[in-house]
Amino acid sequence: MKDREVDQALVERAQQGDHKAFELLVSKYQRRLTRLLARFVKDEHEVNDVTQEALIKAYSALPNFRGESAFYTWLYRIGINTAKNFLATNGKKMVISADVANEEGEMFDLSDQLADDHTPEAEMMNREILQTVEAAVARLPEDLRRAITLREMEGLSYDEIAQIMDCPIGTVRSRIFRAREVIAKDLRPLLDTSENQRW
Amino acid sequence: MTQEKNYEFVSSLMDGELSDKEFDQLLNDKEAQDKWHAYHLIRDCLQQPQQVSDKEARFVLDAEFSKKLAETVQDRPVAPVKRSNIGQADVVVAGGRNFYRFAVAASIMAVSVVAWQLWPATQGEGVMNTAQQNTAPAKANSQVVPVAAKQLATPENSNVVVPTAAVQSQDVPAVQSAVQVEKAASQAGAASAVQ
Repeated sequence: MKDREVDQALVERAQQGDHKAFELLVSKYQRRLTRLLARFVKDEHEVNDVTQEALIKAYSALPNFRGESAFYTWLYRIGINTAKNFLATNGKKMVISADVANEEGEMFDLSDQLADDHTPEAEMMNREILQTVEAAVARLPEDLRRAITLREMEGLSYDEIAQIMDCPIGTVRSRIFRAREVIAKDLRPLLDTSENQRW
Repeated sequence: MTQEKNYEFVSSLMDGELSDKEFDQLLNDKEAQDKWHAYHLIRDCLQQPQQVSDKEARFVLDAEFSKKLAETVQDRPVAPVKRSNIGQADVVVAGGRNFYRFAVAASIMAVSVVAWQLWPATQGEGVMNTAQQNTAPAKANSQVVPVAAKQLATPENSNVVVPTAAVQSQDVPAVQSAVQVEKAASQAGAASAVQ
C-alpha cells in the first residue's frame, strides 16, 4: 500500500463510521494543516479554531470524498476555504494570497508574513520536541541515522535506500523502525504530559 | 525486542510498504495507533524546513483543541457509506461504460459481418452480373486455363518440373467437374457481358 492508498483505506473506514480511522488521518495531517493555516490566520487561538473547524468540515464531508485527489489535497482545500470564510466573516484580509500554495499543499517561502503569536508554553514545547528529535537522531548509530535520514529527509523508498546502503530491503525496514523507536522513546516523556496528549 | 518487532508493521505502513493485512492490524491495536502518532510527529519534526524557526513550529496543539475535536466527531457521526459505494462505485460505473462500449462495438461488428455475407445475395441479378462481369475472362470465348495438369507439359512449359502427385491429381474427376463449372460460369458471364 502506497501512502495515498493508506490514506484512501483510512478514509473508507472512516466513511463507514470508524472514528479511529479518522483519528489516524488527523494524527497524520493536523500539524501540517495547522502550519498551513497559520500562514493565513494571525492569531494562534484563531488558527486552532480554524484548523478544528476545517477538520470537522472534512469529517462531515467525508461521504463526498471519492478519492479523485489525494486526501491531503482535499483537506488542504477545505482548510483554505475555511480560513477564507473565517477571515471574511471577521472582516479580516488574507495575510497572503492563495496562489502561493499549489494544489498539493506545498508551500513557498513566506517567512516574512508568518504568524508569530505562539503562547510561550506552546513555543517552548515545540522547541523542546524539535530539539529532542534532533538530539535523538544525532545519537543514533550510523546505519540507523542514515536509514531514517534517507527516508524522512530525502524521501527515498525502501528499495532505493537498500540500493544506497547496499543491504536487503528487510534490513532497511528494520533500521528505520528501530530508529523511530529510539527517537519515540526519547519523546515519550514530552508526549505523556496531559497538555500534549493526542486526541 | 519482541514487542518492537510486533510494531515494525506500523513503521512500514506509514512508509507505504505494506499490505491491507497490516492496515487492519493498525486499526485494531491501540498501541499501534500510539506509535503511528509518535512516528508521524517524528516525521514532521525531521521534515521541518531548515529555515523555519522555533516559533513557526507547531508540533503540539493545545489539549482543548484535541478534546473538542474528538467530542465533535463523536457527536457527529459521519453518514455511513455502504462498502459497495466506496471507491468501487467508480469502478462499477467505469465497468458499465466499458461493457456498454464493448456491446455497441460488438453489435456493429456483428451487423457488418452479417451484412457483408448476405449483401451480394440480396441484391438480385444485377449485382451478380456485375460480379460476373468483373471476374469474366478478357476473351469471352477463351476457356479456363487448367491449373497445372498435363497441359503444363506443353513444349513451351517443358522446363517446368511438375510433381508426380500433382500430375496424377489432374485425373481426379472432381477437379474436372470443377473446371467444367467454372467454364460454364465464364460462358454465362461472357454472354451477359455481350448483352
